[in-house]
Amino acid sequence: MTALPYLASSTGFGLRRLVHNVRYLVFALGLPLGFYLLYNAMYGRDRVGGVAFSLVLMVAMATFGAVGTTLNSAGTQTALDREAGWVRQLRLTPLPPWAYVAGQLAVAMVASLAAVCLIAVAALAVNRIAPSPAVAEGVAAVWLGSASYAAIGLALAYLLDASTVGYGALIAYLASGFLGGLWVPLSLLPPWFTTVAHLLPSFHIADMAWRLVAGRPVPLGDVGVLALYAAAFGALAAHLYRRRG
Amino acid sequence: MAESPEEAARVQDLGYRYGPRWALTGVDLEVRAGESLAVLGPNGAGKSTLIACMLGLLAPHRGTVSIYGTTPRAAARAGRVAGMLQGATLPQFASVLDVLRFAARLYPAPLSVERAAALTGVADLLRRPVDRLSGGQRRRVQFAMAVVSNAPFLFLDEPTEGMDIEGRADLWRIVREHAAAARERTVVFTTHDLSEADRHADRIVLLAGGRVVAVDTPGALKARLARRRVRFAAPPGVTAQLLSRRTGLAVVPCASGFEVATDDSDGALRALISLDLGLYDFRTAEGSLDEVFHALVAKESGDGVAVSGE
Repeated sequence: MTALPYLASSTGFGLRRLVHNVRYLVFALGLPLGFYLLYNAMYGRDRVGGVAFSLVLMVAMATFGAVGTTLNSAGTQTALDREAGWVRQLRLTPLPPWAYVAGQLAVAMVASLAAVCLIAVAALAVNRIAPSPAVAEGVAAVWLGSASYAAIGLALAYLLDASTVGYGALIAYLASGFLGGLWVPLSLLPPWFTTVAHLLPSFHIADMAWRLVAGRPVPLGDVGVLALYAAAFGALAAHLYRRRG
Repeated sequence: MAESPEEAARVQDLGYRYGPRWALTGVDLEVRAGESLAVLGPNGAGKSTLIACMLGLLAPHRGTVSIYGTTPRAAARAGRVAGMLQGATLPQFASVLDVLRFAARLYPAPLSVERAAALTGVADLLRRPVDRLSGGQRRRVQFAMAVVSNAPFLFLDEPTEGMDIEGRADLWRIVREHAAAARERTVVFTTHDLSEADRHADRIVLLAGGRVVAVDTPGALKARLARRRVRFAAPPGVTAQLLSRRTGLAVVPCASGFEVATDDSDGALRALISLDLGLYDFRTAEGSLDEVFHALVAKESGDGVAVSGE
């Protein structure tokens, strides 16, 4: 068998496991959706910097959902698989070890796509906005940007173990949400929050998408920071994977 | 390295250590294609470490392992081995059917999932999430994963651990059927249960303290190990050393006086009586395999870890 069918098997199996994990999906998809509907009901008619707040909020909550799903699929689930001996069991099969890891990343990106699309569909439906290329670009940017969190999740999975990965992922999730300026607009917070936010990939994902939905060009600074994060954590994960398997 | 075609695995001078403690030292072993080989020994003898090295899960610190003339990893990549490991090795959030389908897809010539499920008695568990299986059911599903692969070389590490008596009997029946269904299916299993090795293995490797103590067929091991005992009492002043020196037998003290373990009880009796030392109360007894086995293992591992038998 060549490489592709292994990857397809691994991803397909991972996706089946994802949809079996109903309680998790309710939280991971429900939390950002709930926040979206709540804030939208409160401030949906406002405008921020010439853009409808509902769109700003859509980007923020899509990012929040994408961060949570990628951290869980690539991070928590991978750490649990290692602890459960499943990764060890797979070593006895013809599945190349990289195909398992790549499958986990692919599942993370599919979960992230679901989270992002859910928020986008909700935003369009609730606010009766017509889908536009700018909105589509913003949504795609959030999804692609969340690849950096898939890398972070994978690094966490190899850095931590099953008993601690949940905390690690939760801290990364909440910090990315609050400090990244996804829950409360940074303009309402003291200036040092903005300084901190610029260090977090979640801010750069949202910032990239905010600019796109406002019809502005792709901000290369955000793209650069996200690529750096993805490369750094990807390299860390690869290093730890080679040492710990 | 020349490999005969009927050789499934070759282990040479294998050594593995956890920190400074050697779990295996100088292990040499040949597994013949089509045989069922039991790796028998007490807990801590190195059985699972040996299996892990043979499967390529652990990289040996000394020596080599070859499976079908290649590395363990290459044999696994080629789909020529399947294993049932100790402990829970099933993924969360998947049904039994999902797991078996996934496993089947990875191998070049798998059995159908339906067939493997029927064979291993998990057909009525297929829709069940793996998380909601009992310990014995999990073992069964792990076993079904190995069976569905249809791989020619099966490694079963303590396969009956956590199973009830009925489950055990069932598992061994399936192993036999599954092995018989393919030409030259090789099975290596570990157990600390002497009777299990006796009944289900063509050959037994006796492992103790990380070393191979004996390798032979159960029958030959019995013939070699299960020696008769001659027991007797003696008047005061007669010592084991004296008796040993004068007869050339290994006479040791026991609860009822003295004891000799021997292959030739008649000869031993004649030698002892002809000493004319007034020895009395002679009895001969079949040596129990368990007992001798235990002594052998205890001698080798330097402790008295019990070897259970049924």
